[in-house]
Amino acid sequence: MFRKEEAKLEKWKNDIEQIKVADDLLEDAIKKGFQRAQNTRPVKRQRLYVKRGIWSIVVAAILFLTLVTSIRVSPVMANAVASIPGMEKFVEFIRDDKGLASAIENEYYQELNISTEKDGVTLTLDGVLADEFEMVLFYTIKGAGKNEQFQLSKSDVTDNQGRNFRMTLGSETNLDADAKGSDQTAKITIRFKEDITLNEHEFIFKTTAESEQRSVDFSIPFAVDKVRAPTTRYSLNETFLIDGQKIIVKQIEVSPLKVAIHISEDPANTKKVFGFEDLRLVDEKGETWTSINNGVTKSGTENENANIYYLQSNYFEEPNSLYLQFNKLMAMDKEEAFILIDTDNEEILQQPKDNRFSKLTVNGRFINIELRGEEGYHYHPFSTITDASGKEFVIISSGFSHNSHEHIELSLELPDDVFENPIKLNLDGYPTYIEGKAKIKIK
Amino acid sequence: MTDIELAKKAIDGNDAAFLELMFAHREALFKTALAYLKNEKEALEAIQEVTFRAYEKISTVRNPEYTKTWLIRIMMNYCRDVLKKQKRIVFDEEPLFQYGISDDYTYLEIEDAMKLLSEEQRELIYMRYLNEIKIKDIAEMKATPESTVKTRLYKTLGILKSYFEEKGGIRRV
Repeated sequence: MFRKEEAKLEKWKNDIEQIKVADDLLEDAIKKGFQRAQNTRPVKRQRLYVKRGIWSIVVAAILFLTLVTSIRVSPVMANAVASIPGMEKFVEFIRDDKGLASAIENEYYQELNISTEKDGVTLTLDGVLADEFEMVLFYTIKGAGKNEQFQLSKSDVTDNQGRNFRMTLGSETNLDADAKGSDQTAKITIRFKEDITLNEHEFIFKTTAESEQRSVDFSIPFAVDKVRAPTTRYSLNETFLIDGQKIIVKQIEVSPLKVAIHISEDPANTKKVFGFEDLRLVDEKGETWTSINNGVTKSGTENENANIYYLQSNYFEEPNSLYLQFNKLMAMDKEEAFILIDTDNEEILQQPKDNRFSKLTVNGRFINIELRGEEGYHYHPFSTITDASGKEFVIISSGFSHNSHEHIELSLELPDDVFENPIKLNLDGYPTYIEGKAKIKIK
Repeated sequence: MTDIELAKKAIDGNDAAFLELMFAHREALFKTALAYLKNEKEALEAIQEVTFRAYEKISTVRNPEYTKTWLIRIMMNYCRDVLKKQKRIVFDEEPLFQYGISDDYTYLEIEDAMKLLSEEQRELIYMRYLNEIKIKDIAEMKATPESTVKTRLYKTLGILKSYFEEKGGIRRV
C-alpha cells in the first residue's frame, strides 16, 4: 500500500547511515558516560568495579567486603555519635567502623560547617576526621527545593596549590536521601601517599553536583586544625609458622582512624598469601576490632613479600592488654597461582587443580569467566596479566558479580595493546585457605 | 555470547557486559541521535548521556530481548528533551548535506514531510524505518496492541504519502 513511501524511508535511512563517525569517538563517548555513572555510584553494593592502575608504585588490592557479616558499631555507640550536633545524618556512614565511631565519640571530629551556594545548590562541608595516613570528609548537598536529584562526581581533595596527594579515594553517598526528600549526605575517604606533612596544608575539596539538567562545580577550601593525635607504633618482628609457611608480623601502627599491620612472608614460602580472613585485635574483655568492611583492607609495598593490612582502630579505647590474632589465611601454592588462557579459541589451557574456572568467553578486549567460589569469598582474583612473550599488562577494569553463592562472574577489560597468545592471568585471590594459630601480645 | 545472554548479564550487573552491550548497539544509537539532533558533536554527547542513564537503570529491564529498543527509547527521550530545552525547531535547515553524502533529495524530502507528523508519529517512523524495529517489538515497548501500532503506522505513512502526492501535484502544474 505504501511501497513508494517505504522505499523513500529506506533511502532516508541509508543516507543517515552513510554518515560515519570514527569508532573511537563512539567508544570514547560510551566510556565517558560509563565512567560518570561509575563515579556517582556508591561504593556499597554487591557488584563492584575496580579501576586498576591508580596506584603507581603500590600494587594494592581493594576489597569491598560489604557482604561479610561484620561486627557493627553498637547501638549505644551509634546513639552517642548521633547525639553530637550535626552528626546524626552521618550515622549510617560509620556503622561499619567502630574505629571511626569511637574517634567521633572522642571528639576527634573537627566540625567545619563551610557552605557554598551556587546556582541554587548548596554544598556544605560538615566536618573532617584526619590522622597522618588518611582523611575522612562528611558533606551535604542541598538542591534548590525543586525535585532536582543530584549525583556527586569527580570528588577530590587537593592542597591549595592543586597538588594531589591521595593514594586512594573512596566515596559513599546516601542515595536514599532523595527518595525521602531530605538532603543528600556523603562521605569521602582519602588515603594519603606517604610523603606529605599534613598539618602544613590548606586543602581544597572539589566536587561536581550533577542533575539531569545541569552540573555545578564546587571548590571549598578548608584547613585541618585539630592537633592530630600521634600514631602509636609497636615493633614486633614475630614469626609464625602456619601450615608450613613463615609469616612475620613486623610492625603495628595504631592511629586514630585505622590500624595498619605490616606483615611479611618468607620468600622461601611455597604458598602465596592473598589475605587474612580473620585478622583481629582483641582486648582483655574480649572486645574485637576486625578488618575494614568497606574500603581498602590491604595495600602492597615495593617489596612483593611485604604487605600492609588494615583494621578498624582501637586508638581511643586504651585497653590494658591487647592481642593480635589470626587463624585463617587465604593462600595457595605459588606455582599454581595463575590461569593460562587462549583468547583466540576461548579456551582455558591451565588452571589450579580444583578447576574452579569455567565458561571463558572473549569478546574483543573483554574477557568473561566464571569462578566457582564459596560463601565468604569476595575477592576479584586477578592482578596482572603476562602474555606469551613475557610482557606485563595492566587490567584496565574488572567486574565482579555473584550469580549465586557459588557462582561468580568475573569480567576483565584488557588494554588496547597487541599481545601474544596465550595469556597468563596471575591470581591475587582464590578460595583456598590454610589454618593455624597466631596470637601476639601487643600490650 | 549471544545478544540476549549479554543483555542478561548486563541486567544482572555485570559491568563489562554492559559496556559490550553499549558497544554492540552504538551504531543504532548514534544513528538515532543523528536523526534527531543532526549534528555529530551533539550525537556523541547524547551517546555519553544515554550510557550514563542506561547504566543507572539497566537493572530495571525486565525482558533482555528488548534491551536494544529500550536503549533506543532512552535515546529518543533524551533527544526530545534536548530539542525542547533548546527550543529549537525540530527540523531546522541545517542539512546533513554538509557531509556531502546525498546525491538526491530524498533525505530532505522525508525530513520535510516529517514536519507534518506529531511527535509520536515521528517516533514511530524512527523506530520502524530507521532502526528497523519489528512492529511486534514496538507494540511490546509501547505496551500497545500490535494492531493499534499497525493502524498508527499506516496512518502516518498515509500522511507522508499525501504530502508527496501533493508536492508531485504542484510540480505537475
